[in-house]
Amino acid sequence: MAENPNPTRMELLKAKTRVKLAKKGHKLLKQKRDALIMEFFKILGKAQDLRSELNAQMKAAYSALAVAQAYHGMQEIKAAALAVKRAPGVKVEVRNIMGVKIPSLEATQVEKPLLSRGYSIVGTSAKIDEAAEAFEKATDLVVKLSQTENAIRRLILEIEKTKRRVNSLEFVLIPRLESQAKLISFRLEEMERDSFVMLKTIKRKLERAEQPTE
Amino acid sequence: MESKEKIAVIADEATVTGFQLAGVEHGFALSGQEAEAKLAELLSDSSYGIIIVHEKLMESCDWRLKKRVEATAKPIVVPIPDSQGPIEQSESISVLVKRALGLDLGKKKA
Repeated sequence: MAENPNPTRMELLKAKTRVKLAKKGHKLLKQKRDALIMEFFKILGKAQDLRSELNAQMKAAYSALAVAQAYHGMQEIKAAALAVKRAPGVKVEVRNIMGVKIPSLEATQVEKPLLSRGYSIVGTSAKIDEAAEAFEKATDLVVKLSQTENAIRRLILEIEKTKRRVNSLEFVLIPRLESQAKLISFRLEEMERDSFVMLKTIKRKLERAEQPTE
Repeated sequence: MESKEKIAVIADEATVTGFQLAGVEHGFALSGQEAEAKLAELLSDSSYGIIIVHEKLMESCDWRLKKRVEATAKPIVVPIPDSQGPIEQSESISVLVKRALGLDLGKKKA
């Protein structure tokens, strides 16, 4: 973008269309930002609850594991862990909200009833069961949390980016383009007046030159 | 089962064992550089859906890796508190919200 454009009608038209385009883009981006913020507030509360829940659950899980470890030793717990049936996986799909890729999970229940865990309940004690249960709950929470928290993080980053764009359009680009268009139209008017005055002067001079001869 | 994505854990040994008790079989008991390398490796593996890591690992790892973690929608990296309890994350939600929206959520968070 030239700072000092040629003061021609062509350039004026160009500048005007650019202003129009920038304004349109500004409006669209503003709408996008508002939509993102709305989506964001929808899931914000959920994520915060889940996060504190997970923190509490992890604490419980660690202490349960510590107790189990004190009773059985790490080796035995590991042996039990090896026998545990593998957890069902998760299905991660990517959803698209206003150009933001947000992971969407198909929830799977990790928590299992005691008997279907896979290790022998005769060979182990309730301490291990407790630890397993606590970690299953934690895993469930992680799965739930991962979706909401990740979505929120992504939304925030996108909101920030959009906001920056909106502001740069509003406060930098649009004023600059407008002042450019103004400058061009001033120059054009000035040139018009200039040539008008010049024509008048020439006419007067011609008339004056004609009169004495007659 | 085949279409489902796996859950992985990168943490200390106790945590990995704990999650193994819950049926999460892809546990990697690593720390420091090795853990970072593993995380980077798993990030580019599309057969994983969720990667569980310790908050402290996320804090200490390279900023380039962090950026990558933020940029990928799949697998999702979930930081969890370690046995010492949760730490204040520099990139936690409330900090981000404050920066983006100028809104303080600090009081709501427990």
